[in-house]
Amino acid sequence: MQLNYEDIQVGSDLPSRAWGPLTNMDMIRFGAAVDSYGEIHQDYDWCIEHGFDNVLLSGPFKQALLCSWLDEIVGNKGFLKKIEISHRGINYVNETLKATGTFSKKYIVDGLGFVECDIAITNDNGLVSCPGKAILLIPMKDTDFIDFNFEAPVTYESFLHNQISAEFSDSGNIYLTKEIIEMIGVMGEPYTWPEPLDVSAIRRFTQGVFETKPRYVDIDYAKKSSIGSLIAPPAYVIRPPFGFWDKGMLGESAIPIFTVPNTNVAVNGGNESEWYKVVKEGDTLTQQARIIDIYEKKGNKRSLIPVVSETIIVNQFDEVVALSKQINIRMP
Amino acid sequence: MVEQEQNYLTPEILRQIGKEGEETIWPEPLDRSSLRRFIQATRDDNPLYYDEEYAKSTKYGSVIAPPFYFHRSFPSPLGVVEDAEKEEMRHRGLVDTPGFAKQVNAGSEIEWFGQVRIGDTLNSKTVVSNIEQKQGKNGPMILITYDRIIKNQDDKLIAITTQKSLRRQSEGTSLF
Repeated sequence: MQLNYEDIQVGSDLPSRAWGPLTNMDMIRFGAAVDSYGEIHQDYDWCIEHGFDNVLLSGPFKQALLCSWLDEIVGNKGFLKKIEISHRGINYVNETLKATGTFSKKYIVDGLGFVECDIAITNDNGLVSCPGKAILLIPMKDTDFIDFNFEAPVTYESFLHNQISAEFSDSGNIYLTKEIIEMIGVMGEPYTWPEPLDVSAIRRFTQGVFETKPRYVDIDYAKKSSIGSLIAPPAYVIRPPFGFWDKGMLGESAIPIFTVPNTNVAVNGGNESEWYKVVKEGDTLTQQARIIDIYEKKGNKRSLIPVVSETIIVNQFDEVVALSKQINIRMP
Repeated sequence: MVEQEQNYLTPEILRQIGKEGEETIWPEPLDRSSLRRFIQATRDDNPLYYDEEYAKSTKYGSVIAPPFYFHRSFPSPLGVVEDAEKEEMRHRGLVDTPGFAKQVNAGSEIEWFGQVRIGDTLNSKTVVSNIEQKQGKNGPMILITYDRIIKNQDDKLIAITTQKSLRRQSEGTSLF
């Protein structure tokens, strides 16, 4: 049944959803869907050697599960507009994750109903690992369909020309050398998907996050819809497939690659993504990213060096389909 | 005096010779991202499999799939997520050999008759062609031979394979 904007009561709970116990196979299936084969999410021995208790469920996986859950709540006519989550705890394979949330605000802009909510993932031990917020686009009662087509606050060109830099000051931080601080503002190379979005890519991703929404999995439904073809789930847009031969065997990220000396572990600290246009079968996305901040803080057991990047994702017409901010935490 | 080997091939097991598996079909026509994943996974850098310009200059005229590509699994269709057991069952569920549950791949013979291109949808049909008992160093084993025919959407023969699987004596059922 389609949820309507008029039915939303601010302060009421979103219907919750649980997944699991999530297995190593679930993690491998998701990894293959997003071409991500990092040891931390696949290799038990590596995880134990690096001080973890088991294979870690990946941040993009948890975020994609949240996106899929919210996408289910907004129904066949609604859309997920924005998500912002912070990774506050580690989740391992064999855990069951539960998504919960509360509607916090609702408003109408240009005749469209936006609903904000506070969301989180909690595991079977009560650990809250992914607190965050989301903005949902929920149709009014008399809405036939929503044309998901928004103007982003930047164009591809203005994104490229916006300069960011930081001055180095010797403040006694161990990891923030002059070379590291000089990475702030550095723009990565544009990175284009190795092929246009195709059905098998959508299949792998939707199977990877247990997605059953017809706009992503039902070809006949999608053809008859106002969009006219299958589209990519929002979480897939912000985690595009890695590269081809000229980009390195097992891929290359759009985010500039560099090493913080004396660190050998990197974990996902959080992500904020907003979507502006749908991505259809046959579309080819390009993403480009730059580092916008690097800082150092003390964690419980070890120092943490968060690296913040922002990524623009455009389609083959240079239209902005999404903007994403990522915090990647390096640690010794 | 040589000890008589015990015969584990019961009539129930032998009756499965000739058993046919259900026809399996690729969930979608071959597309580029599937092909990319396969050639990345097998570290195959032959441009015939990914470089359209290069492929045009060859006798094939377009990118083709590597010969062994048809051997990829036949995954569940769009919108269906199967659990590990069901997925495994589709690959192993044809022959039941109670008491012989541990299975290893004992080799295969493949003959190719045509190429696979972007847009092709393959189907596969398997028949159990033989079941025999073998004596290994660590005890008796059951050797199962499967014949498989792979065709494309135009019913054109792509490959015929003979696959052998060895099952060792172990508790449990070979049917998951």
